[in-house]
Amino acid sequence: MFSRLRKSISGIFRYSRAEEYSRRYAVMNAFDGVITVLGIIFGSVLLGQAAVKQILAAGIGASIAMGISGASGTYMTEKAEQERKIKEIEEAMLVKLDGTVIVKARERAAIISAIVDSLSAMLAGLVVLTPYFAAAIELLTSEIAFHLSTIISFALLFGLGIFLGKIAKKDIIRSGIKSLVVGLVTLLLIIALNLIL
Amino acid sequence: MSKRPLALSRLVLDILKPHIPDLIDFCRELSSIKGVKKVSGVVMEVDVETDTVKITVEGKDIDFEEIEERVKTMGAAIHSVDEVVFEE
Repeated sequence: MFSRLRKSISGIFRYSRAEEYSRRYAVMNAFDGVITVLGIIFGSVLLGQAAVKQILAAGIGASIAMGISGASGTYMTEKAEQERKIKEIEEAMLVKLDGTVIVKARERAAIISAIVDSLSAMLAGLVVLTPYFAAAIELLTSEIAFHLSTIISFALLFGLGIFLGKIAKKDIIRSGIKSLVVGLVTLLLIIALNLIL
Repeated sequence: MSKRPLALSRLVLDILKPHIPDLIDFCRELSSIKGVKKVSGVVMEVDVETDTVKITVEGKDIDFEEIEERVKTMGAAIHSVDEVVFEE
């Protein structure tokens, strides 16, 4: 079953050439997921001294919202893009392409992009929150959860940077550090806000 | 005694197709049709969105309707049938 699914997805990518879009969405939204939840954790702890359950609720809520917004937004955008491309081919071919492998693959590519987009944002957010899940059932203290979440966030950002560096075939360490800087900027802004308020 | 009908064994088609599926996928799809033993394709012209290709299909008792159907499924159109061979 797994190999059939793989074959079918590779067929969709082959006929729609949408692989790079899905990859782009995956990285972009995992980034969103990590930074958003990191922002919630830092904001809650530094600015509001929130309890574990409040952070967990806010984090899960944000992850679900990102997942839904990612899926619907990407599906609509990708569908419009794919329809435009189909229309261009139809105009060049002077035939309707309804029912062809091209239309089927492009329709499915929009769905795959939406799923990838939604899952990457949601999973990345939830992974950052894992220490707080442990803290909620009293396996960790809230302080350790905070530190662990920060470490996981930065590790994920670094990992995403490395992945981007690999795609671009550039210096992967430099690329990893670049995305770490994004996390640090978020952190510094929240700390600055804490000092002002 | 009536003569046994001959079967379609070779076809040369002039086809207009989108860039995707590419020529390899296109020929592979046609090669999976029953009776087809050999498929070869040559790109004649490349346009912004389309390719004009010459496809030669060889085999034993080739089902032309099935070939037409598969070509259509891949978003392409047969412009002309340039060569046909029927044999025993």
